[in-house]
Amino acid sequence: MFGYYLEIAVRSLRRNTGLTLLMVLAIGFGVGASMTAYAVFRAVSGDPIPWKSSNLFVPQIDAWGPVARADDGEPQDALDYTDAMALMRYHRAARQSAIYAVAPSVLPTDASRTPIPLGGFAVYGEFFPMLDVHFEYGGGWSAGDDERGTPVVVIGAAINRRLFGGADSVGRMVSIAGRDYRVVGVMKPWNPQPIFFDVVDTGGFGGDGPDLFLPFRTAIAADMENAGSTHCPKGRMPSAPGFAGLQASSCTWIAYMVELDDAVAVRRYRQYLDDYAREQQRLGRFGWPPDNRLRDLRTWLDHEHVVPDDTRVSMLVALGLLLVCLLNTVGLLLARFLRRSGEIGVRRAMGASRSAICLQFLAESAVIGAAGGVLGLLLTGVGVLGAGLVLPVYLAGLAHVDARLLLLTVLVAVLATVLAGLYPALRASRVQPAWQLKTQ
Amino acid sequence: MRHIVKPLLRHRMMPLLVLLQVALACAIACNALFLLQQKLVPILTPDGVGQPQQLIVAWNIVPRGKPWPVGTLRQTVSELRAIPGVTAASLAGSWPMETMAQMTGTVVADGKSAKASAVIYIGDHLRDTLDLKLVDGRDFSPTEDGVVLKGMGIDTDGPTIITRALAKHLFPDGHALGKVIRIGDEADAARRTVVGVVAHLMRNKFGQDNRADIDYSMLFPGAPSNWPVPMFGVRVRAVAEVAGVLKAVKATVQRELGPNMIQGIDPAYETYGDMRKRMLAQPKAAVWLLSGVSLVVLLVALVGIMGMTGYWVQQRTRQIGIRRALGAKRSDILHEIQVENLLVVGSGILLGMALAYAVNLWLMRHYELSRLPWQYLPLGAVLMLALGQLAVLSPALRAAAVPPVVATRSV
Repeated sequence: MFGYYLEIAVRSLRRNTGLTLLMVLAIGFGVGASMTAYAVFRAVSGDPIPWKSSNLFVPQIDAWGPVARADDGEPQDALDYTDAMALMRYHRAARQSAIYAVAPSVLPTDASRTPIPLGGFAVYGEFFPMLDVHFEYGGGWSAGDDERGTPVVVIGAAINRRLFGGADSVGRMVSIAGRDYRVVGVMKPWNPQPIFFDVVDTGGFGGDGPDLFLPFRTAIAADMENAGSTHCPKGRMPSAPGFAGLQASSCTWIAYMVELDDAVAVRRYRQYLDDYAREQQRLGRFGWPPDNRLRDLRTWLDHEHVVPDDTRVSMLVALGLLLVCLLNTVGLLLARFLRRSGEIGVRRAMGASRSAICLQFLAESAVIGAAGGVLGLLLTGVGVLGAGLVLPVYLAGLAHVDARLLLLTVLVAVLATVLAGLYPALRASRVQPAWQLKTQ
Repeated sequence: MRHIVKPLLRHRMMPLLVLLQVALACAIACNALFLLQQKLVPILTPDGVGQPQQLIVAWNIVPRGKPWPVGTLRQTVSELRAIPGVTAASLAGSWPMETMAQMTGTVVADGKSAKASAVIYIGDHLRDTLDLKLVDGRDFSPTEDGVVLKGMGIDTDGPTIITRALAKHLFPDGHALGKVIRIGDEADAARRTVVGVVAHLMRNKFGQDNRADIDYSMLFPGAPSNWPVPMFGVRVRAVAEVAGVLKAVKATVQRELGPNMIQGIDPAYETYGDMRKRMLAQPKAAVWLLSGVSLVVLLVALVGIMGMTGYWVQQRTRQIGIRRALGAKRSDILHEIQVENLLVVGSGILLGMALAYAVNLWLMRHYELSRLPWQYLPLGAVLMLALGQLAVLSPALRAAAVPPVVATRSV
């Protein structure tokens, strides 16, 4: 029966091509615009570590005081060296790591001997289990290595391929920025987007994933400079030049992440942060009462505006457009169905039930929706390709068309149109057959 | 009027749909046009830089370890100046259209209450290299340009050249020359004396808000010391020479500073025109996107009103015929339909304004957007009214063409 309805639908749509085309265009544009916006939004707003994001937290300590605050009144989004080291020393969370970006170069052992510039991070050993980093060979380093500043390194899959041809390189030596380091682990390809463990330095997106990780103390001892951003309070620039001066200053440049297992642990850590700041106040380092933050990962990413406002706003604009298109479809479908009151009257008089009429018109809506969906598919494809013009390259590269998006586009188009057709179809099924037959 | 309103109330669905559609379209169009206008500001504002394709900029020059001593940088810039075809060269701390380093702060007119958020560009021979149009006062003297500043020079007294917009804002009486501007509102803030005024100079980061201050910039002469990311600007005599000079600039910077650069971070060399194009690509694309969306919303609304009114008229063909038979003129029918549309669209607009305002409030709370200026509301209203009248024209004409004889058919 449904097949028959579809057949009538196609036939009736053919009869009135102008109006049909308008409806298909409206739905196509609405769905195409929303899906394009959604494709970009989906690419940047995903949870990079969904199974664990509620247990990961970023502490912020008010190290500059209320005077040096930014307009939003929030404390700095990174830590200075003193605070980061104190937090590591007290070691109050289940796992934690101070993090800073490094950009050393590696000297390959092959004939070329040209240094390869790399991007990576100096972290503590707990970083790897905390963020569930998977290893191809070997693993992270121990707490002892952290303390002693052992020259060890964890390298990425790509760099392992380049240096060692992809073989198990654990135990081999690499020359990084003029010093020899022993490889203890080779990661599986790992490139979370956003780069959630250090959004302040990376801006959240880009790159092919970190090339290497070094122990924090080792990197500091080797004078490996911070390759990320540094912020200094007004009028309190480092008194001594260079990396040592930065470490002694109250400039913030270290990202920090902790893992806390339950609400009690979170409360305790919050209390600990305040106690720490109060102690610093007592010691005279801070001249103000504690004003700290402890945000979980999702809230943190939100706070850092990792998803650009433009992306969110264009998503909203596109949704508004879809809404207008649907409202338009309701009106046009209503006009279209009620124009055929005579036909409905005849069908009802010949024994068709109300639900049959209703179903028939819903089928017609679905056909229009499907046609709109196909047009929407085309427009989404064009839109995602064109997103490269609107968005920074690193964001546009993330947005892509896949089977899920295509399916979703057609589904949204059909569902939305059927929904829009619901009231018109109900109205059509209420047509009084006797009245219609009489007026004819 | 009663005979127009009554049928609307009796068959509520069609007018209600038109009304809702107008309201939504109005709300979206108002906000989209406002966003569009915001994106247009940096595109339409003159940046003040003359001959953008003849200005080469070298930036992203990052030292390994300590910053280069000013002597080395000065040496580099004087070698850049010696390249044949170069008319001026600058060593600077930040640059228009480049956001890697920016200096922004509150500046205060000394002895007055006027203050503004301004961008400060620090470097030597900046006015020459940027080819800014001096509208008042003088350029910096060679002695002033030769100063080596302590740090960035934010805390040092000295001369400054400011833009006309900033001069007007800080000194509304029109006499900025010789006046003092304090850099910051603390009592011990540095004092800078205005020696010149240039026509325009855009700030290097154009945010979402406070569009009035996009042209609030100041120039400080001298070379910043202990500055980790120096930049060089090189003005070329003729477009034909740009490619050759670019090569020479690369070679010079590489030769002088290359050995002490961080490995893996390469300096960038670009003409200012290309930098500007790159920075404006995003707002430009957003302009296309937003105007596209607004157009589609308006078109969809137009088609919707047309379709629905067409049906609404067709439904009443017989009533119209009867009215015509009873003596109503064609123009009466035409006007009736138009007034009816005016009523429906008008109420839609009222709802739409409230909605537009609510959407804007919500956007303001959640995103860094500014308040919708009230001027957009009447603008949107007029636009929607015109749209409604345009959409109703063809159905209304069709209705007016209904002959009275229809009334006698098949009752």
